[in-house]
Amino acid sequence: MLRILVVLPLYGGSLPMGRFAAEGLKENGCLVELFAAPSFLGAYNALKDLQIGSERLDGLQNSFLQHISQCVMAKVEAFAPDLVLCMAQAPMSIAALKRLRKNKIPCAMWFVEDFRVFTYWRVFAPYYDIFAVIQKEPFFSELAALGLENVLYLPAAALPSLHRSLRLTEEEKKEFGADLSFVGAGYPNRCRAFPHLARFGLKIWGTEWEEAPELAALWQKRGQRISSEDCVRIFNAAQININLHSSPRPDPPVQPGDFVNPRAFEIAACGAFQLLDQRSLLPELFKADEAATFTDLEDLLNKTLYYKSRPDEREEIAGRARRRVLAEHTYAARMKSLLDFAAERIPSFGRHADIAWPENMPSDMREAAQNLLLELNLPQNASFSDLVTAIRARHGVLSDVETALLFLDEWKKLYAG
Amino acid sequence: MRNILVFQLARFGDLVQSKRLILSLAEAGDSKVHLCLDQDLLPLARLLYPFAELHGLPAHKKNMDANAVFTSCRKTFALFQELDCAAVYFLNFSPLSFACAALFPPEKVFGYARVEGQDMRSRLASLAFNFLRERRFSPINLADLWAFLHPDPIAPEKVNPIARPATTGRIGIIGSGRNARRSLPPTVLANCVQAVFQARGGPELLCLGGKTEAATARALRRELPARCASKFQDFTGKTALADLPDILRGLDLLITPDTGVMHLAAHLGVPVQAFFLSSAWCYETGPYGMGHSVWQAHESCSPCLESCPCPRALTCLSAFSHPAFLARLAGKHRDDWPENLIGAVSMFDDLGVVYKTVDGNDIHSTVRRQARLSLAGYLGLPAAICVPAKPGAPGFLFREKDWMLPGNWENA
Repeated sequence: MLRILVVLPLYGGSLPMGRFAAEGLKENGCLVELFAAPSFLGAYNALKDLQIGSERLDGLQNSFLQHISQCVMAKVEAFAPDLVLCMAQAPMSIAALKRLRKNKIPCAMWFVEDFRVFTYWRVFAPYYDIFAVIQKEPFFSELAALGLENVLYLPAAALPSLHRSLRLTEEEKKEFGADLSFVGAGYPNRCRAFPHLARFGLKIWGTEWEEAPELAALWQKRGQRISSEDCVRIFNAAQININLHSSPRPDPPVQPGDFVNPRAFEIAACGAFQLLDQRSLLPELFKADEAATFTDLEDLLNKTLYYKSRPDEREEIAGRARRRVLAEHTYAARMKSLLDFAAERIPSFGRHADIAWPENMPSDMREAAQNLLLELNLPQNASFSDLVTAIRARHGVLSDVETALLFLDEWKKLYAG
Repeated sequence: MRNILVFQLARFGDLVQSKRLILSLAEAGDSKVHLCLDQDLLPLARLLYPFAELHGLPAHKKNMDANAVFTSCRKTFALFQELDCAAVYFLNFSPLSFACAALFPPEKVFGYARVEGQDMRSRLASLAFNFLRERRFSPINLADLWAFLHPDPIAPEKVNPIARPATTGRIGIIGSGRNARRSLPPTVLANCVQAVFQARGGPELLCLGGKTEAATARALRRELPARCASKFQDFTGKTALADLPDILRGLDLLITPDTGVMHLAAHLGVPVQAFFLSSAWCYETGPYGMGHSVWQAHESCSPCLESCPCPRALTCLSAFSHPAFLARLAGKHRDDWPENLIGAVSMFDDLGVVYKTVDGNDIHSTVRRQARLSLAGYLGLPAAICVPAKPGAPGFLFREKDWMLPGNWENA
């Protein structure tokens, strides 16, 4: 089995995507471990509460990043991955990336951000062996100019095990139901657009809407973080899900753009209907009859009015979108693309040494091992090393069988080469 | 009856050195002590700890079938689960030990644990690793370190009998231990044996050890002068581990490097004269009990790392050929004692066994003593009998995290 270490960011939009990518990798038969950077966020935030000079704070924050990078490297040493997959903003210092390269451990970045807004890629991209992005030109050319050869277009996706049609309870319908819903942060263009949707019964979920007092009455749960599970409930409970891509500029409220955000795939996977602003990369992801789009504010208002009274049409479009997502736009599919790309571009990819199963295993041991493989959701052809690694990752007290396998693994390392 | 389980998966010597802890655990009348150890050591453990229930694991069984290793371990681990132990002690920092620790909830584990998939050291175990950074100043014997995993270990003098000769006119000799560099070569050892032989009026010389020591025994015999060689009996490879105690009991003295047999002799109250050189350091693993003598090579590089090649052509060996040392073994005094050798005798303080220098100059003794007092305070020994440490404990003893950060788990 391929071993993949997914390095999550401390926070932000790429955090859930990292967790979903890990699930997608597991669906591809990989042995996956997560570097849970969000667990360090409290300590990072505590630095900001120190009330010290900005220069000192800057130094401490940089030291903090170096420390977390060392933690990632320790995890790499322990897990011995075939690939380290870093999500955008993953806390990886250049020193750590250099060390991975020196140790011949391939490292990929899935840069699920707008390259025009988050420009730090210019510094870091050359240190990654694979740079996967959600945009095409001119980003491809800019990366090529930096000397990157292994660039992969890898758009966002949905996780069908999470993003799915739900039969909501009456209580959930009451809590999450709406004629019109939006889930996301209060970017300036959205703050400009959404007051116009108030008359359609818009409900807004998410953070950073404080700067739009005119939307206060529409804002649900007053900025509480919305879990991925609740997002799915909201998508399912809305007649129309508004999906307006963000922009730091308020005008025009609907701006041209290229990449398609994760929400588009997630809403579609739920079989929910969405009104989505037109994006240049959308046509290759969804056909015209799989996505209801708008091009400007006026179009948004007109389409809202149009679809509000046409539930059958909404359902047909949503159904087609769902089928397309399940067929092509899942995290499992994306991760397969990434793994295939890695195999094609990195000659040594996936050639780690495994400890072999003992020969002529007695029936009780074979049966115990097979049961464990099932329990741990591992394929029956998983190697002895894979099983032991999965056992090590388990929390809590282990069983006699698990402990005996751990013991055997150590014994083999000591005495059986 | 509470079940208490001790994992000692290391070698012969470590098994004996676990004695103070195991006796301390057994002293509580309401507890049954179980001992999990390398299965080859079961016969010896039966002699050492007749009160304990023993469980063997193939910890050092090189040529065993992997399936048999699994089957044997699984059976033993299933039994441990049924025991529902009140406390489990892990004494070894080893991958095998950590693997076994996964079987138990951390709140019951002492020493080394696996907590939510993470291998962890207790505070005391962490301290031991601090000492390793400055082994010259090692403040505590391994047997005492393990004993203090127990909150109130038995007094050190209750561990082993005071060493007394059997008055049989027999001396035992161990030619070499597992680590060749920690043993005296036959040419050097022969001079030492000859000196002791002279001092003791020509006793019988019984060379002990396993098959692997047979060649050393033959070489030693060749190096001995005829009058010694005629009293030399080679038992190497001819004595089962279980029979060894009876032979040791019949000795007036055992001459040995730092070996498991040395610890067994101390367990039986047989006087020991032990040679410590290279990586062997009597302050860590010297014989436990009253009445033993140690000869510690004391170079600027002592104690070294066994795994690193010696860049100084084993200069620490030279002390054991020095005329003043050989004279001392023969019971005579000379003023030209070698600078790189310390002679010490075992005794006790409140913490455990210590080695009092009687020959040579231990330049590290002040710092070691200071570290020992600091450690005693840390372990909560009564201030009335334990001189408070001077301000500023030796820097190597504690790392900053030891003072400030919470323990790794409940019992840590």
